[in-house]
Amino acid sequence: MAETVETTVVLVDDEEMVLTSLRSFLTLETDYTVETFTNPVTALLFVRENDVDLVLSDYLMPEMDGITFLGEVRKIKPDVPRIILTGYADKENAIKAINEIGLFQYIEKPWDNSDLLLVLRNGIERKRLMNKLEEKISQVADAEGDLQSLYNQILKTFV
Amino acid sequence: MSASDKQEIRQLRESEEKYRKMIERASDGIFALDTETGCIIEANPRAEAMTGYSKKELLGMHVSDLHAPGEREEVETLFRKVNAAGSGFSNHLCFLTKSGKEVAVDISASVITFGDKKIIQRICRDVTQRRALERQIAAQRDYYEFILDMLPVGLGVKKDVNRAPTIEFENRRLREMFPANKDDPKRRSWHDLPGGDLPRKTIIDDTGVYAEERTYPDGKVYQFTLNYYRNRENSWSELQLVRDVTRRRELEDQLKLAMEDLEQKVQERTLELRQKQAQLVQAEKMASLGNLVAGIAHEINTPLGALKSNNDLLVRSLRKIRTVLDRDLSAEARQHPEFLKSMVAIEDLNRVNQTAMQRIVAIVRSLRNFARLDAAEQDQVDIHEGLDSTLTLVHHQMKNRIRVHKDYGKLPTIYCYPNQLNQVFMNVLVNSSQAIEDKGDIYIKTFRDDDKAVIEIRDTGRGIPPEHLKQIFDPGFTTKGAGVGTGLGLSIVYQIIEDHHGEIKIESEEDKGTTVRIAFPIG
Repeated sequence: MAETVETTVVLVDDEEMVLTSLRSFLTLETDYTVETFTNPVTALLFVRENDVDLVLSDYLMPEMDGITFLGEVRKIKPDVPRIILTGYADKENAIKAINEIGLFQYIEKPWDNSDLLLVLRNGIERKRLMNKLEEKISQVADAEGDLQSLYNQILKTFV
Repeated sequence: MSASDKQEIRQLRESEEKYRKMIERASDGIFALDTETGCIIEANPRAEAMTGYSKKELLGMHVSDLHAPGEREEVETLFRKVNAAGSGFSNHLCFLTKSGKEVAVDISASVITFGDKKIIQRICRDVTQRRALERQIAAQRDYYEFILDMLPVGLGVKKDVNRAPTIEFENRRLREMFPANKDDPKRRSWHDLPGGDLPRKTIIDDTGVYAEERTYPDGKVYQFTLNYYRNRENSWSELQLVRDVTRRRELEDQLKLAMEDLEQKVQERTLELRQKQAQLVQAEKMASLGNLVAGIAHEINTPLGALKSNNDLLVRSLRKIRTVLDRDLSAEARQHPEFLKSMVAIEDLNRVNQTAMQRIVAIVRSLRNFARLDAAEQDQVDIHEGLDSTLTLVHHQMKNRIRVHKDYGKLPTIYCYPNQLNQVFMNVLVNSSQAIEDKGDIYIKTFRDDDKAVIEIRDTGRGIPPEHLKQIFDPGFTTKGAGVGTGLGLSIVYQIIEDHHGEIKIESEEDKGTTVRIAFPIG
């Protein structure tokens, strides 16, 4: 089955240089549509208005820290995997965040491109599988509904 | 009767008359007693006055009837004694007068012979006043003796230094201190007291007087002082005082010991405090350094992340370009020297950049690990990770000069403060590298010894002279000179290791090198 579905990844970091590096890398190595934001508030607006497959955010940013930002993302789109990129040697906060706001993964700066890609792919894959599962579940529910009405019809017919 | 007989009789009469007149006028009471019976056969007017009896009443009374019944036996005894010896004296008897009054009398009695006739003449003097005075004086003396006896000091008095060089009075305390020797009851001075030949010490006592002090074999310590005063006879009296200062000396000795003990404790505490203070200062420095390092690490990591990613991207891009070029570029163009040179240069530079980047990443990680601000509390720590982080940071002191040989054994993690552990390694490794003047080696060996994790750091440096070896853990001790060392390093190391219940041992041989052996308990 050919993957013709468009994948959209949102990157947020107050440093333009980090965004450029990541965008260049992903553009080179993947078919993802990469949307970058230096301001998490603008990024939130984008996430609200568009279909997004994954959000990756820096930790320390002046307007809003990464944890708060990703928490907001969770409220809007709970199914979108969220990854934090931390330049601070503060694993504990990141780990805490994983549990508190349900982070998919944390990545430490300086990151390794291959590792980063692996994490992104896993996240996107997971979301896709989850979506498919939901689809199947609703299909089953629909089928069950159909079945029920059919059953009712049959019952009506015979009684 | 011859004339001479008459003469004799006349003379006798005259002398008797004379005697009688004398007796009549005497101021003492005089009695004549029968030597056989002890009855009064004659009494003078004074005797009548003293006893209150008339002469008529007195005559025929027994001599003992003049006295109170309690004294009668003594009167008889005196009577018999006079009869036997010819004379006798008493100075403590009393008449009991007719009216019942007591009159103190001194009695002097003697046998007198008149021709063949013998009588006892008993002369009695009224001494009532004198006796009272004597009693008063005795009472006063008792009173003063009581006071002197009760004094807490031994006291001996010589009334007149020149005339009587012996001690005339000793109070009870002195007699208790030095019971008088019966063979030599008279003691001239304290030199005659037992122990006069003991070594003595001259001191000035509490009153500012020179005194001698002697310690007796039984442990008693006595202090002797001499005091002189000019008496009423205008000669010198001497007062010798003996004080028992045993208890005081004991207390003083105890006090001295306590003071010394205190002094030592103060010194120990001071040293301890200095160590703690040094550690606190160091901890403070490490905390600010840690903050700085963490800040720097964060600041560096963002651009470093970009650089690292970009470099990786360049490598990846170049690979793609090469694939495309290999497929589509003409063989001629591919052989173009400018193209070849550029490609080689880009590939080489990418590789170098990657190595450089990796090194920066390692340094930043080491800095972060070393400071370990995220682990201000005790944690399970990998000793080897601590050693490696520290080595990366002291690398600049060693490169091209010192070869580090690592021989890491299998060690479990230990429970400790990671940044403190790293400080220990840092201090020891810096010392080792500074001990190596030119080129040398540092051997780091770790192994497990029973329930201890042991880290042995050996260098081939100049070593520590034996006289410095015992001082190396003292805070402030340094041989490095101003600006090089604080003298606190090893003292902090010692403190940290002690806090972790570990051990540190340093062995050193001059010009051979030093081995530092650190052991931490496992578990």
